Amino acid sequence: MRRFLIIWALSWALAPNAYALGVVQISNVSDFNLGSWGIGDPPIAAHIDVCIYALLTLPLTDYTITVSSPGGYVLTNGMQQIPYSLYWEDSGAGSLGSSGGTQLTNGVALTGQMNANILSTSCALGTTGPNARLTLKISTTDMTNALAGTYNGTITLLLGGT
Amino acid sequence: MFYVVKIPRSGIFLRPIICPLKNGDMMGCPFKKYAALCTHRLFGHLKYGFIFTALIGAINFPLASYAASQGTLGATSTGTVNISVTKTVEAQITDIQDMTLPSWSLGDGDVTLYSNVCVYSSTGSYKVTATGSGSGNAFSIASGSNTIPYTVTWNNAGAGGGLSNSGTGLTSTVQSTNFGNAATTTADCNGGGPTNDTARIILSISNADLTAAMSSSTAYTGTLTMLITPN
Repeated sequence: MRRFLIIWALSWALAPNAYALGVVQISNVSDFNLGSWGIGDPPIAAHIDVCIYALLTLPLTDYTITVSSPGGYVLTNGMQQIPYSLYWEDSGAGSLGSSGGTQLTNGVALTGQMNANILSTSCALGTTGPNARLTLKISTTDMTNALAGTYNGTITLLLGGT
Repeated sequence: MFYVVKIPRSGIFLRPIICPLKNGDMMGCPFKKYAALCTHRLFGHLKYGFIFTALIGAINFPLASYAASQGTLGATSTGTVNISVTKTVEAQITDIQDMTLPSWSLGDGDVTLYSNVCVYSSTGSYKVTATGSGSGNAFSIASGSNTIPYTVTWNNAGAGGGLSNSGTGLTSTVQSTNFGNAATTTADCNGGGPTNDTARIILSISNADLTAAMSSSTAYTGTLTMLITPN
């Protein structure tokens, strides 16, 4: 452990913009299965709570998240599309839901996110539990405008050090 | 010495496995056959490794759908999330008006009444089943035992003010052919009205039938029911 920390400290001192030594992991990721929506239903707002682990990043517990979808933040059914928006909240374990989060832009890194777990890749130590929330929203207007059918999409969550 | 095996991703439910090891090697792990991917050593007494346990999971756990993928430990970590929502197939008819003819006298000729309606269909198209209130669901109005038959026509010109009194004749209780031009972006056609409604129902009574009808002190009345089925 001591040798590891020394190497990390030397690396940071010599090249302060290179944080390759830091390691991160995102887990507890699940799908957004939003079910069915019909006229008269409220707008869609769903979230997944994930575990962000970051070790030896700078500052400690900080990280960067980039959420990407090749065609933009839209769900597709053939040629039909439904746009959606995404929000990232880094309130930390036990505090998720305390804010609406920061709106994400497709493929654009959201830097300066905090409250990663530094003790456990599964967020099982320290302040335990998921420490970040990804919220997905679809407006009533966009759902109303959509033709009937099942719409799908995939997003990639890229976690990095600061 | 413990070897903590974490499961980064799989299509099935998995469980962590703690395997006693000798001096950090794989010899003591009962699952070493699958634990070939030790990737990271953080502390001298603890190792994190990865194991693909599809086989183990298949044996010990029921298969389940879990398509999201978890990130792995590294300088960056990537997870994927699938999103799915279903817009239901549904339809709605609104902005229906009663059709009333105050009176009719010989020489007035044929009568045509209509009501513009808003038909919303989440598929964009629909079928109509009209049902009269006469005997055997006939299209007829009645005053006591006296009746006057009528015919029903459906015009589906769509929003934009193009509705007219021509269209497709309907038979009581018989589902129509497919009609397009339903509203798809607003369930109430933005409030309806002549330029926003998407269809018109036309009720026609011939001069002959009106001439043959018995005069009555009470009005001839009836009910026409329209069932919209998204197609």
